[in-house]
Amino acid sequence: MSFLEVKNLHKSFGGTQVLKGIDFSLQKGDVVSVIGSSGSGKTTLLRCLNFLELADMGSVCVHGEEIFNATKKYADRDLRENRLHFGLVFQGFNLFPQYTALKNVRLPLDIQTGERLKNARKARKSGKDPAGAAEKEKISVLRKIRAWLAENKACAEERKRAFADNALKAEKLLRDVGLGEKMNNYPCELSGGQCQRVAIARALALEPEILCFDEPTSALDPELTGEVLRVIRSLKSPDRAMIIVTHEMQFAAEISDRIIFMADGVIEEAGTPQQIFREPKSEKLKAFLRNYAENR
Amino acid sequence: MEELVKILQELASGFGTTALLFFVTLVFALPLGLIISFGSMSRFKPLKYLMKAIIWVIRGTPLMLQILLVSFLPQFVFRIMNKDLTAFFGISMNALMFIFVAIAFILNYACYFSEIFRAGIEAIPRGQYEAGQVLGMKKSRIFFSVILMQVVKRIIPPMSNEIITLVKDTALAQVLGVVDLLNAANHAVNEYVVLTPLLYAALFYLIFNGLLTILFNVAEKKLSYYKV
Repeated sequence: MSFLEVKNLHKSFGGTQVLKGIDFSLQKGDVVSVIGSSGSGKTTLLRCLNFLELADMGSVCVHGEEIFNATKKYADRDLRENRLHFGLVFQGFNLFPQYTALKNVRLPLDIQTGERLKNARKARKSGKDPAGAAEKEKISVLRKIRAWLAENKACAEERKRAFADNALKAEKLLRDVGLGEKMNNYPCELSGGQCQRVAIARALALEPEILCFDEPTSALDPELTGEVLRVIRSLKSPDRAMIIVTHEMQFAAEISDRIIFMADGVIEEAGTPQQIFREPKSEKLKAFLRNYAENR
Repeated sequence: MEELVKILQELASGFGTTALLFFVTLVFALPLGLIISFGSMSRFKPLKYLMKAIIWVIRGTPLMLQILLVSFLPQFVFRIMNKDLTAFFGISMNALMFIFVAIAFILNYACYFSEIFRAGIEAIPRGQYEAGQVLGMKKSRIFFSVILMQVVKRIIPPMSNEIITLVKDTALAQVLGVVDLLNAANHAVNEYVVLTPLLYAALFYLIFNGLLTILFNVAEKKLSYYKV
């Protein structure tokens, strides 16, 4: 059984079919690069995997569990939950400008912590804990207030502890992408390469099993692409899969276990880097590679 | 000298009314404006067009007309029902008139504010919402944790414009006999047959707006640590 299985994904915008049936699968630890000319549907594919667009047809399975099927209706909550299997690094970083690098990485963690604590408290309150419910009947108002205050204090302390853990985790992530010195800088004070590395750390914060990159270096000056590609290379691990949409052919050849070449909304050819770059079969891929070589 | 003290006392009391109208309008029109802006951006078409129509009517007619309408409509209705308006609400005519003026101001300014909010919200790139989404945030979470502060920064200049205009527009309250700053000055001019009360009134407005301008400059500086 594959770790991620995408079946027959279709997506149209207005009358234009952008994805015309995409099938692929990958294993944990796999790195797959998606190449192809602009407009071939690469970005739309990533957006469909992250549910930023909902595919018109097809399904997505992770661990054999169907997390998306176009024939079903999903509540916002389910989409939010299922989406967390994936992380996405955008071409344009999309960092939150009003927060420091550290806060950018912490924010998703803190929000998750807050929600978890709130739900735990709600569960406690709704009397799932029978001992608490029996007690509730007996105690006086004053004791109730005291209990409430004590619970509040306990919650605040728990939150404080959890937030401190989040801060440590965010700091580690930023150090891992080489930004230990820049944690307290705002995005406008960082270079494009540094911004993208913060964005990568932020995407890693929630520990997605499948990390997607949408042309992570396309918005960068050429001399800054190296640092970002180095970081992406360092992320290769048996614990996660990566899908990288890129125009950096050499990088793709180097890092990928498999390459997918997309053209006109379908997977025209897929294979190992060796097969794709050395022994291309389809005419479209040959033309694409020729074109790429000429324009370098 | 005694005359000057008296004039200044009257002006100060008028200024009190002006300032009260100003703050009441702000406190209610800002949140109402945000709600109207959400309505005007709603994907539910009937709501969207209703809000757009309201904004069109309110921005398309004079504020003075709206004040008159807001006050005359209930008076007219109560006359037909043969009831006494002030007795019904249990407050003085002056207070009632102030409330009518305030309602007209709140509605009017909420519509202008809503358009400023809308411009601010729509100027935020989609990528900011998407970044929040892929990090598992709820829509309301994205708005309050990610979008709002960026909107605030963007709308400070147009907001300061509108709020300074509001200070001066409060002078329209006198169409219902509310004794605001300008009305008080006018009374003093007639009573003491001197022009200086008008100059004093001008000074009051200028100082008030000067303080507001400083406040907005400080806010702008405070938020200049990041770029949107």
